[in-house]
Amino acid sequence: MDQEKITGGVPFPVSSNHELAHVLDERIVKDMHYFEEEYQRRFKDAESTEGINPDQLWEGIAEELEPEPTRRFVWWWLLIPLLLLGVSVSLYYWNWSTSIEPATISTAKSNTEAQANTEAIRSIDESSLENKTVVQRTEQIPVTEAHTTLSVGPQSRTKQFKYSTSLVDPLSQTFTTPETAKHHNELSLSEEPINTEILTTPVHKEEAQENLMTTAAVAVVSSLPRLSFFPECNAPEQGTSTISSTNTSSTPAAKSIQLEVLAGTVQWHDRFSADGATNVEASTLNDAKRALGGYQLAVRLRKELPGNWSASTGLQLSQVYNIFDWTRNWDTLMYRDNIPGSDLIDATAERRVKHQNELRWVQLPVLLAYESGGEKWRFGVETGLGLNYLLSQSGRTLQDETTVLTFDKASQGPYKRFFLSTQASPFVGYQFNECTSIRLQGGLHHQWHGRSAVYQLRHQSVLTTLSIGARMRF
Amino acid sequence: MNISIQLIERCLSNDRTAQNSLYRQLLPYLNVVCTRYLYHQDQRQDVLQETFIRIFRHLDQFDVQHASFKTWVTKIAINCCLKHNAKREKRSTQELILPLHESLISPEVLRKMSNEDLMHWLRKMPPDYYQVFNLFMIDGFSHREIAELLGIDEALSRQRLARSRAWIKKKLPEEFRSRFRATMN
Repeated sequence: MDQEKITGGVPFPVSSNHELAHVLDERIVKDMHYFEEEYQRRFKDAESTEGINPDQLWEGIAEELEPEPTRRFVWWWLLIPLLLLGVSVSLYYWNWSTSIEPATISTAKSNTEAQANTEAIRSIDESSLENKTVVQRTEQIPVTEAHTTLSVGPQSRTKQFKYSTSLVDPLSQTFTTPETAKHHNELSLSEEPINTEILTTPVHKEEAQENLMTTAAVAVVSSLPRLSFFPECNAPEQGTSTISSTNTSSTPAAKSIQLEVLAGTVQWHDRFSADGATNVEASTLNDAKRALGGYQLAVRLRKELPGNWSASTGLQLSQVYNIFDWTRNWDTLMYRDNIPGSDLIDATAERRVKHQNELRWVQLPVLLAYESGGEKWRFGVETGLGLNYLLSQSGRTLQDETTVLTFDKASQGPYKRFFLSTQASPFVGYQFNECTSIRLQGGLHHQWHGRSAVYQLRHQSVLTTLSIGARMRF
Repeated sequence: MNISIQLIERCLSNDRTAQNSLYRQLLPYLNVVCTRYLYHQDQRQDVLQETFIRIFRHLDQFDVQHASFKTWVTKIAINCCLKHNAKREKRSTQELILPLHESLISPEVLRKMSNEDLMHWLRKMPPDYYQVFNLFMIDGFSHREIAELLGIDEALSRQRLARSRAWIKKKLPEEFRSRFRATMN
């Protein structure tokens, strides 16, 4: 084709048929018939609602659209605190109404001797402190009674001290645990006679007074009101040599089930890896996704096992937010000023999509924990498996190298409904008493999502968690 | 018409208020588009309803790198109109017969004609030419895009445009052209 002829003799740099066609189109626009000009003037970008009923039309459209999402998960927020409140109240009233039945000495002979010894040595003659100190551990066991009275001094100067679960050895000034007391009780209930050790070595008055002060301090601390949050501990029952006891049975504490409640933060980190042909590069997705944060709430039942082991299971609800941040640059032809019909120009286009994605799922964990430490501070690690069910997912991601996918249903997103996870969680706990403790627990979870149907990539994720919780025995 | 990305994203999450707002902004423009492309105006409300339902249902497929939002919704509306026109043509056995003799329309007369009369007169053009004429001259689509929309090839799109312009020139005398330009200026 003769270019000169086409362009009417006007030299025009055309290098391809595409450019030639574009030149001809330009000519058409410039050389419009008067009718075409008038038509374009009237109808290009014209707006009018003439001939239609906008409100009636909208009603018809709204009926066909998907219903607005309702916030059904509100009840999740109510369920956990209600459960916590119910369990706490139940435990509190259950322990409050339970009476502690004291152990008894089985033989009449022992009763008589115990009575004699108890009465004899429960009074510490202050005036004789310089000369002797009576030490009797077993009879000081107060566990079976709400209060035990220790009389100090001769009759006229007797002071009454009340104390409950702790023993004070006046000489050593140490607290003796109920375990130790029980040990002594066992000795006292044996064939061996109750020993009353009377020291005749001189005792300094100051030392003796210190003993009294320690005893008084214990009594003051013990008389402080008990925190209502922590229920009365069903610690193991000890045998006692007190005369008032009538029940012959001793009831060891149950170490069966503990209720555990945890709440904390969680971060979800996606990891993709190539597996054959893919829609999108794994590195592109890894760079485009960023963890933001979320929460998790867990309610578990824990069963103590022999040794320091325990097993637990329960339910855990988690919700996380991630950021999808993706920018693509490419060379393109576009309309000048983005106006269709105007000149096509070479341009570098950039598209950036930044969106907050959301995931919510529930987990059924099966966990094994090992714990050790002292009476108060406990340390351990917990590990196990979890079966996870995705409740909802919404957000944006890549479908391929150039297409952004928007998803808003658990069945249509890039994450599978069911997935498995493993976890390793070290923790540190503080034991308030035998029944109640709190713990701080970290966690590292690994989750498998299999091969993604959307990405055609292998998909895994890593969760980092930090939780605080309370454990109650019942 | 200025549609923000935030409004589109709210519509994607099925926010009914946002969807209504988008509808109110698009309706006047798309109503005129449907007026131009539909042969049977009694179908306009139905076609608009179908257009908006398609827009909201496929909103996640809108990709700003390929076209502006206005161009995207215009394509949807035009597609719905063409589909309805094709349905009605299949049902109808009446052939459109162009009158052989038409009275001349001078620029003065043309300026005084209402939009409906103008459009009514232009619809006398063969439908294939009329569609390409509207798509190219008014909505600014390229021949490549027109070919994709109508399912024809680019060369045929150019041919139909040329023929539509020839039809206009034939029906409206050239002698009035310069006079029209002078009065416009």
